[in-house]
Amino acid sequence: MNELGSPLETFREEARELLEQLEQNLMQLEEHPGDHDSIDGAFRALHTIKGSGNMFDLDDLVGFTHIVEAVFVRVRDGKLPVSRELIDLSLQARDHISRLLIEAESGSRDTATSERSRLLSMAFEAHLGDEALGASGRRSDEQDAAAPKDSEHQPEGECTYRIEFTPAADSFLTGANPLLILNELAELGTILKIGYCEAIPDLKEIEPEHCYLRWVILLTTDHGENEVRDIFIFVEGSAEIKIDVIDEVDPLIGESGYKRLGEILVDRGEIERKDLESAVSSKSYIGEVLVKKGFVSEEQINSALKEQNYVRDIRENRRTVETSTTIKVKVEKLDELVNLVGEFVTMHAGIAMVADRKNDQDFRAAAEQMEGLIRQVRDLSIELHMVPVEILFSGYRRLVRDLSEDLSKQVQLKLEGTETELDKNVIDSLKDPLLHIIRNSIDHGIESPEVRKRKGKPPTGTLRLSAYYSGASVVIQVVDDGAGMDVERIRQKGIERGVIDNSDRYSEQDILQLIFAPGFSTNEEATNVSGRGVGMDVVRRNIEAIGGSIRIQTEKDVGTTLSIRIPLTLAIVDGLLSRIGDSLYLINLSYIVECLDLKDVRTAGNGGDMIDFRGEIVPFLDLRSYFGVEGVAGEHPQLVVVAIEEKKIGLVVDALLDKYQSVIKSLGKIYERVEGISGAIILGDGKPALMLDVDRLVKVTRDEVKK
Amino acid sequence: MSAVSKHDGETVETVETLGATAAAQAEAADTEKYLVFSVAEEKYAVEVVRVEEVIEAYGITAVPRTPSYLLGIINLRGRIVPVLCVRRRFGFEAAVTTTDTRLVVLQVRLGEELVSLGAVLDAVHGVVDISPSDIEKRPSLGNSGDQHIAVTSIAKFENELLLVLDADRLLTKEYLDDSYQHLGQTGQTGQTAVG
Amino acid sequence: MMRTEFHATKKPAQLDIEGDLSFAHVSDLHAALLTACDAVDELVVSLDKVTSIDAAGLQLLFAVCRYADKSKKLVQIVPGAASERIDRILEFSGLTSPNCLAGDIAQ
Repeated sequence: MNELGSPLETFREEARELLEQLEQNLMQLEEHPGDHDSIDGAFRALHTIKGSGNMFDLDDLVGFTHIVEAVFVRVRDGKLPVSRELIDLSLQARDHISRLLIEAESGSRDTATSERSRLLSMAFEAHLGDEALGASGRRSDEQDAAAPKDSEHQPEGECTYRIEFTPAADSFLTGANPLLILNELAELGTILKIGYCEAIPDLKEIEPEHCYLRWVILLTTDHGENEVRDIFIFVEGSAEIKIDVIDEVDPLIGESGYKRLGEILVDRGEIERKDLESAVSSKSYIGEVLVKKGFVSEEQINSALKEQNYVRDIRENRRTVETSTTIKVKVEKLDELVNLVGEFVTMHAGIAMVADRKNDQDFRAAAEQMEGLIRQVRDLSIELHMVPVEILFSGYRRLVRDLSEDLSKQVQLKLEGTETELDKNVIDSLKDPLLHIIRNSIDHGIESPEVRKRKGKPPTGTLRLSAYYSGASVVIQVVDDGAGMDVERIRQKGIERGVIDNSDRYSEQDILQLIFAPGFSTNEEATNVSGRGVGMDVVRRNIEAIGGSIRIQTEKDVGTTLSIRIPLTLAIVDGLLSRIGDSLYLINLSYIVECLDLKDVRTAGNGGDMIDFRGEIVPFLDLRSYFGVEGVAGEHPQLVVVAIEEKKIGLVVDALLDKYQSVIKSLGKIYERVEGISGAIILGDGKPALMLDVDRLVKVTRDEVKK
Repeated sequence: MSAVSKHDGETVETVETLGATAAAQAEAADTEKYLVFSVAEEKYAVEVVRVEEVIEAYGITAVPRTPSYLLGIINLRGRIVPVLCVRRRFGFEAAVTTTDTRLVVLQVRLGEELVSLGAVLDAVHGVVDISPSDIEKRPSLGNSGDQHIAVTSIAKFENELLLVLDADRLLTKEYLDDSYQHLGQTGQTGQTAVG
Repeated sequence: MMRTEFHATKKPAQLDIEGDLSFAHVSDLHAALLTACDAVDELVVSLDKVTSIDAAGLQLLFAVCRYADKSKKLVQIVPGAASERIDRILEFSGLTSPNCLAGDIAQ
């Protein structure tokens, strides 16, 4: 599924993802030092980077990663606790690996990097305790295979155990039927039983009531080692049982082979390594040689062969299953799909129009059926384009950590609603705005521990990132429990700059919105982190560009909440088609509160510039005059009441037509400054129509009323 | 390029008057292809490499609250393309749409972006080959009016003089910003239906 | 329940095993098999009437084969109607069939 060019390129791409994963795991570990998943995840990421690096002979990278990985083997085996210091060190290692990767890419070698490798390696080696590190970092198979021996193995997903089971001689007599044990094991998962009958003597010598059988059992299961051992509970005292993990879900990526025959026999303790080595030198099949030399029996060879095949099959299967459950798809392809589906929706609108015009029942029914199908395809393609905000949120862990350290503040980051899904494109365009907001919160919002103590707050501040669904939108909040914003100071500054006047007609929200004006900052002292009101105007622009809006709530010494409301998806909108003059305009349905005949609505306010909407006085905008349409209005002008975050206005249009579902297209650079229009759609007859920018119209109308 | 097509790609007409000449000269080395068109009684030429296609000027949806030379948008096989009236841009009155009126989709640089821009012209005459030696840089004419802003040189072609249009100057970011600014002051809009 | 019947006069001689070829009877069976093997050079062990078999019983069949290999006597175990039963226990225990088991067992 990967379309990237060379294998090295693929590796770099993967390594970058793995480093990202490593960082996430480390941040998680810092919060929950005992979290097995994160330990395993970190280990796996390191292991994979090392393994793949090996394939490209990136010795520096492999050597360094090996040491870090070795430390994580100890962590995984519970021999080394996760400390703050270790996390610090590991984060540095993560950055360093990234550095090594870049050097590998450019082919350059910096002496400073080598020195850093050396220093960091030393720091990690200090954590290795008395465990010797394999002489070369290049192969670690032995170490991996030998890792979990004393401690119980807790597998993540499936793993394969090799159980060597030799029942006691009197096991038939005591009623501990070994076949029943085999049966119980089989119930735990996939099993391969290899029985050994070579110990059975001939008829003359046999004690018929003695058990001479023994087994090597390969069991692939997601049960833990303890559960496997439990099955042997009644025979444990007498029988010989040896359990090893011979395969886990995540060894080197793409590994589909398995150990060589001789290695398996050595593993099982059926042959001495030196005997194996002496046999390897001869030319014939290793199995034959071993049997001929009398090192092992034919039965042992066959059994080892079976193990080899079994594990290969399991691995091969797993790869097939993995590739068939998830596939990597380029985002561009998904974009294209969503676009095409959009075209499809448009085209269908055309067909439905023709069906209506022809007044053909069958045609119309077919068009309706088609609509149902298209809707499904549309929903599915949009779903494909959705990703959980976790991807976005967890990317800020490092930022929060580093930033609070730089500013000598203590900040705890909490993530909520991380499973909330958003369009991938929306997530991408939120990245920078959120970064700015978080920076500002830590820099200007959360106080230093001393100040917090003085205020009677806990010394550690909390920054909460949360996401939740709200209608057709997702709301993302950045909440801090810091100093809050000084509304009065912002107001003064606004007056100084002539942005507002010295009257009381501005709401607190109006004043707070001033921080999004270009170059507006209340912090006298610029810091190198957020500078002078850095980018808050950019933040708002970026958020508005994706059809979102931003609100601030703040309370002195309690904290600030920034709420960003964004549409679930950018691509396709359900709207109401309306006519103004000769042109058609689409109004996003999710903003519409109600549609009324204008003649049924009472005007209010002194100049008749307001309407009475169910007892609420609401300003309205006559779109005919706003858009400069000449001529007289239609016979039955309509009032569409829209609301953005409870702020209502009425929009007067000449007529309302149909509900219409369409892809929103950008009007492009030339029209980006047009007020009140946010995009274009293509109608069934192929002619473009415009999409009303309700957000903007609400703002403009309410600002107008204030003046 | 000498074919004129409807928006859906169906060819309705082939301009051959000059096209044939162009073909005859195509083998001549070192010549560039130009599309020849007329606006307000004057003949212009624009590099063919800048021309995406030539279509009929219909199906334009007006965009309100825009400078008057911006006519609106069209749907070009699913793409939204902005359309400009060259007459108005050059400071003339808009002409009545005739059977000769054409919409030429050009690739123009706007700021740092390359965008498609539809230009409505009085007529398109075809494609010709012009040798660079027949093109002369035009002396600066000072303020000689909007129509000459985008004309950088003059080409001689078969005893005719053609004004060579620099597509990138048809609409610059500065000019666009200016006109929006002006619009904000006067409240004038570009509500005019064409085609 | 288990019963054996030895037909020494048949050519080749035949030992019929009937009933349970299981741990409870392996000692008796062992004795019967030893007697039969000692008595003749060529022996057919018929399992046709065996109704059940367990690991201890199976083990004994292996011992018979091993003895035959060693003593160069011709011993053949014919599963007959019990062939499916034997297949099952072989599969269940992960053992490969004894080499003197007659060919009518699916291999």
